[in-house]
Amino acid sequence: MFKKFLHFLSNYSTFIALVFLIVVFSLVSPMFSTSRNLLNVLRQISLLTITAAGLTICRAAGELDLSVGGLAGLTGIIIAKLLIHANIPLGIAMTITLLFGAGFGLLNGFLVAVVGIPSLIATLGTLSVASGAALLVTEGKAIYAQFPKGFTFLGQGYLIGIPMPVVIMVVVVILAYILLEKTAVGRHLYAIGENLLAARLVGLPITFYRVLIFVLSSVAATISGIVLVARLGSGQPTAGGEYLLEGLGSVFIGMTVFKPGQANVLGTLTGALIVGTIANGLLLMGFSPYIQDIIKGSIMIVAVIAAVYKEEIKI
Amino acid sequence: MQKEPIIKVIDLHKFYPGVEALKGVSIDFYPGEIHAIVGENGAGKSTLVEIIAGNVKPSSGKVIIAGQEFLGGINESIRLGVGIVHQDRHLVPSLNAIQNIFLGREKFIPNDLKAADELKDIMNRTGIQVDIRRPVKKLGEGDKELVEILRVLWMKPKVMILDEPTAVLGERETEVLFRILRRCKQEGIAVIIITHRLEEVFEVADKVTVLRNGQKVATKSISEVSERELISMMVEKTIEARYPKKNIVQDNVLLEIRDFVTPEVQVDEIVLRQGEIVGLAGLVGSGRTEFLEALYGHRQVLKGEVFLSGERFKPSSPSSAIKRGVYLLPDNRNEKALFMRFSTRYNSSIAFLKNFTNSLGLVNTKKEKKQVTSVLSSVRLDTARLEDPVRNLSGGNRQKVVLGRWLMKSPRVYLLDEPTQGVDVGAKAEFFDILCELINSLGIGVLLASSDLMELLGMCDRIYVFRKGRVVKEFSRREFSTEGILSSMLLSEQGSFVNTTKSEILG
Repeated sequence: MFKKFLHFLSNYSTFIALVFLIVVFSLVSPMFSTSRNLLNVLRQISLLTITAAGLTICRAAGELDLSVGGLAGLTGIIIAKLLIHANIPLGIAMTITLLFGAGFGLLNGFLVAVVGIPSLIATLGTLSVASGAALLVTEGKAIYAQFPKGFTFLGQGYLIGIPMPVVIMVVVVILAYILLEKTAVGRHLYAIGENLLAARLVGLPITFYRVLIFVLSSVAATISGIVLVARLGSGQPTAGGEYLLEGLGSVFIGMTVFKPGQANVLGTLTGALIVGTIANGLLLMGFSPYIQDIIKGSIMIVAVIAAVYKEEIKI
Repeated sequence: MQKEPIIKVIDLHKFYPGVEALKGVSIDFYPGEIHAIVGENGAGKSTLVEIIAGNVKPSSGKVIIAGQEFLGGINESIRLGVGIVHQDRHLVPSLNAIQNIFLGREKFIPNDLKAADELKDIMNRTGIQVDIRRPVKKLGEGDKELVEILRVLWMKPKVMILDEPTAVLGERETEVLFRILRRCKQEGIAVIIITHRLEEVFEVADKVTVLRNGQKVATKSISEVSERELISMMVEKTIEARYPKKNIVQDNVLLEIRDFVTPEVQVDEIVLRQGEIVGLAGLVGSGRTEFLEALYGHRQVLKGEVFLSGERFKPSSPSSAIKRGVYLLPDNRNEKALFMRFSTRYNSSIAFLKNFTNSLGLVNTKKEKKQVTSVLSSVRLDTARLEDPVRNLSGGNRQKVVLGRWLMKSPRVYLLDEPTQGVDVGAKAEFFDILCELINSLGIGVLLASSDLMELLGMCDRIYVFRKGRVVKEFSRREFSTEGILSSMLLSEQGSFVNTTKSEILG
């Protein structure tokens, strides 16, 4: 019984830490636990979580995708340009942007799965290409304009009182969760992440899957890029950069919980919530916003140290 | 002349999850002696020497080295004068011998000239000849081993342990190695050598210890024991009991391979009938693994004709082989077949998840559990703990998981590569018992590659012998003989065993 309890503690310690944070912040700052503020926290982490859900799929199959940081900004610029400068109807503009994102993922997948470049290096290259392209087409300037109502609704609207970015996040998280945990594809992806050679020898189409994961993570990054523009009402070429670091951080924090050692969607969500709660709570307590990054980074290191010591994370 | 033993091993026990690798072993090793340790796979040889070398902690018992109790740890064993040459190489490929040997011990600015002089001195004394300025990756297997030995000798050991030093060596290299070991012995070093090859024991060793199933059977002077006696000490039960062969070969040909060429192997003809177990014998590196993996579609095939029940079979990828019911149980299953951190259920169903998914791709876990339970009980695995990670299972049970995985969908041909590697003796017999049951009930055929000759002799209907990437001979069951098969595995053309007498070398 006691052993079971310890097992529970060690598997869920990160989740417990999140609950602890929420309790502490609620006690310290009465503002924190208002429903308005909590929704605010969710909205703040929504785009990060969407990106991180894609990264989780990549990581489950043993790969990293650094290019998402640049791609979110680039696809934001693309949709802004299509809507404003080319005057293309919303539905078509969204489709083109998403297809572009998928194509970008295809390129990453090709470089990693077919050419055989380690994903860390390949996507570091395409990260630079994407952020450079965003700066090039905008000459480094933001695109300010009046966007169509239907578009800004994605970023600023509400559905039964819940901000749209949060709704989109919930949908993406549920889809990613089902994919990884409930389908054969998800099982195969984890198999590839655990042992690529064995996965090939049991007959899994590993090249297909290793391309697929990059397409999925690029599409996720594209969604956050689009929603970000809709929320800000402007296209920022350098936007989205923080999603890479915070997204990866969330994934790694998430690897310590629920399914220790493996990237998993619920863990990633926990990680993103920790990141968001700390940022929000510290701000309410009156700390400098600059201290947040230091604390977030430290938390990630501590969480991963704990997991590495249990020999559960291999990176 | 009665010397003091340099190493005293007293009542060593070692428990691994599911296996007791050593059950109270006591041995004395003396300086200036070559002491061979023999025994079957899983007898406990490697565990014993790894404990002496400080890589493995014993569960109980004592090791006394040079009069001091050895408390474990690699650095401590080196300090006490124990050096080990492992079966797998521990060298940095891009560095040369000098750089490898002095790795981590160099001065801030390495002085290769001085280092080379030190090594040259050792080489002159022991007769080692190897190019110490060439990157190790450009050296042959024999030379790499000499570099490892040189590294051990440089530390001025009192004891040198070699774990299966001849496994990857040719006969000439083996001869060179033995000459060096005899020189080491003259220098007063205690040499401990693990080997599978009995003829080598008689050629080089002064004493021999037989381990069986984790226990010491005997330590004998080489002059007071015969090869036949050694074998009977190594083998526990009679062959019949250990290899429960009972399958019925039918006439129809199941698999026919002709003119099969890959970058590594060239096979003129191999035929497998329904119900048959056909053995692939050969030394490590003779091409058995490469052949099986190419047939499975995992390695490149340059040309060849393969027929499965008379229909053409093209080995293009593992998934296409699997579609035709041709399944590989690879060697080194922990690395090539299993997802170690994942559950038994996960590992059993991973190849045929489509059997349990609906049109949306969602897995029906209930259905999955039912079928996993059914296949695992037909390989006699306890199905109570389906959710435990496979890394908690013993070697034999892990192999059952892999075997069970390939029962999910109508198997026709099993390609078994070293299926009993890391499986203890009792579990081995059970594995073959299950295999024969499956062969008879499902009408499959089996290609069995193994380094364990007894296993091949016990289980196979026919044996093909591989040497240097080619099939050199075929034996039918009534032609089986240890000597015949061994000699075609080991000898080039009409040659004979390396039979240098000791007087020749020392004289």
